[in-house]
This record gives sequence, C-alpha cells and structure tokens, in this order.
Amino acid sequence: MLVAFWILSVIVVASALGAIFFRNIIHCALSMALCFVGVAGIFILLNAELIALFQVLIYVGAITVLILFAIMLTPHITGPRNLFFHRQLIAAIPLSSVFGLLAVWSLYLTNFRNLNRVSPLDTSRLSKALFTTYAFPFEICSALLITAIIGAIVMVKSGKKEK
Amino acid sequence: MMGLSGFLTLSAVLFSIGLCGVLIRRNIISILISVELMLNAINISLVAFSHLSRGASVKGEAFALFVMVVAAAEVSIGLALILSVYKVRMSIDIDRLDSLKG
Repeated sequence: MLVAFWILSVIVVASALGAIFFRNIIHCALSMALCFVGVAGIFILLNAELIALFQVLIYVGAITVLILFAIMLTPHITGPRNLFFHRQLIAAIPLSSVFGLLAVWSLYLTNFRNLNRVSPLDTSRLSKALFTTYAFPFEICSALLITAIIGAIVMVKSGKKEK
Repeated sequence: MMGLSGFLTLSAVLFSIGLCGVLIRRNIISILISVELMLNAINISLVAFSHLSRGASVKGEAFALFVMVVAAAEVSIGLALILSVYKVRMSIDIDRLDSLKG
C-alpha cells in the first residue's frame, strides 16, 4: 500500500510538473493524461473504485481528447519565448510554493485524530445516496451538461457565421 | 505517511503545481490544463476525507462526482470559447487578448 502510494505520488507530481513546464503543448496534454491516470490509481488506493472509473472515463477519455482537439485546431508554437514570460515566472514560483507550504503547514497543525485507516465504502451506498439524498443535484447536473453542450455548439457555430 | 495527511499533502502539492501553471503559462489551453490539475487535486482531498473519516461518509464521493461533471461542462465551454476567440483574434496568447485593458 505504502509503496503503491509513493509510486503513484511520484507519477502524479512528475507528470503534473511536466504538464506545466513542457515546451510543446501536445506533450503538456499527454503529460496531463498521465497525471489523471495516476490520480485514478490514488482513488483505487482509497477504495473509491467508482470515482476511479469515472476519472478514467471523463478525464482521460473525454477531457484529454477535447483538449487535444482544441490544440490541433489552434496554432501551437513550440518555441520557448511564446510559452514563458520570465518576469512572471520569478513571481509565480515563489507564490505557488508559499501557497503549497502554507497548505501543508496548516495540514500538519490540524489534529486529525487517528484517521489513518481506509474504511470500506461500497459503491451501492454511493449510488443509493446519489439517487435519494442527492437526486436534485443529480438532475441539476444533467441540466447543466445539456446547457453546456448546446452552449458550446452555439458559440462555435455563431463564431463561424460572423466571419 | 499513508494516512489522511499523506493524501492531503499530495493534493496540496498538485494544487500548487496547477496554480503555478495558471500563473506562468501564456497559452489559454495550457491555463485550462492547469485548472484541470487543480480540480483533480480537490477531488483527491474530497475522496480522501470521505474514506478516511470516521464512519465513512458518502458525501465526499458524491461531491467529487459533481466536481467531475462541472469540470466536463467547464472544459467544453472553455474550449468553445477558445475556438471562437481564435476565430476573431487569430491568436490564443493571453498577452494579446487585452481589449478590456483601459
């Protein structure tokens, strides 16, 4: 378990760093896909198989493909000067590391009392809750998705008409 | 390290990497990729809280599912916006999209 956690953590962090630091944006998107697979492994480690399945289906399957499509449809210049702005880099790296250190510091100050054991939580409980307690948010989600799909189609189509 | 704090540390590190990516990249699609990384970090912490809390509540997992749905909607709308911006301005470099700058 511990070894698997460390391997997955190294994969996730390394591929996330690759996703933001690679010069070529296609490499960024593929590295992001690897990061999503690693996160799915983390979910399996947490006994959340359904979430891991959805992670692979939605993130690795759909979102990565969408992003790759968008990359193919727009020009991507692989030169270093178009991707980085060094003045911003100097400010951004200390800022985000300070944020991360603050988060980890507050985490270790908090007393989570012996919550160190992964408890079994079967999928049937989640599904039951999803269709009883969370039935209304579930329906709102479907409305949100259909609105997003129609909105995306309308936006791209009207852009073409204007031209 | 395997306990709740391990997973939450991983989540914090991933979130900081995503934040750094949002701040340093110049391409809108790269910024969208970084936002997806941040959403994933949040999902890790939600599922970790859900499974490692006493009496295993189902709330965190349900919330993580809703986060995924909203992320899918966000990325489709975002990419449609990027494509229409590209059609009008012929660029997706955010330094050139400064029409609203006073």
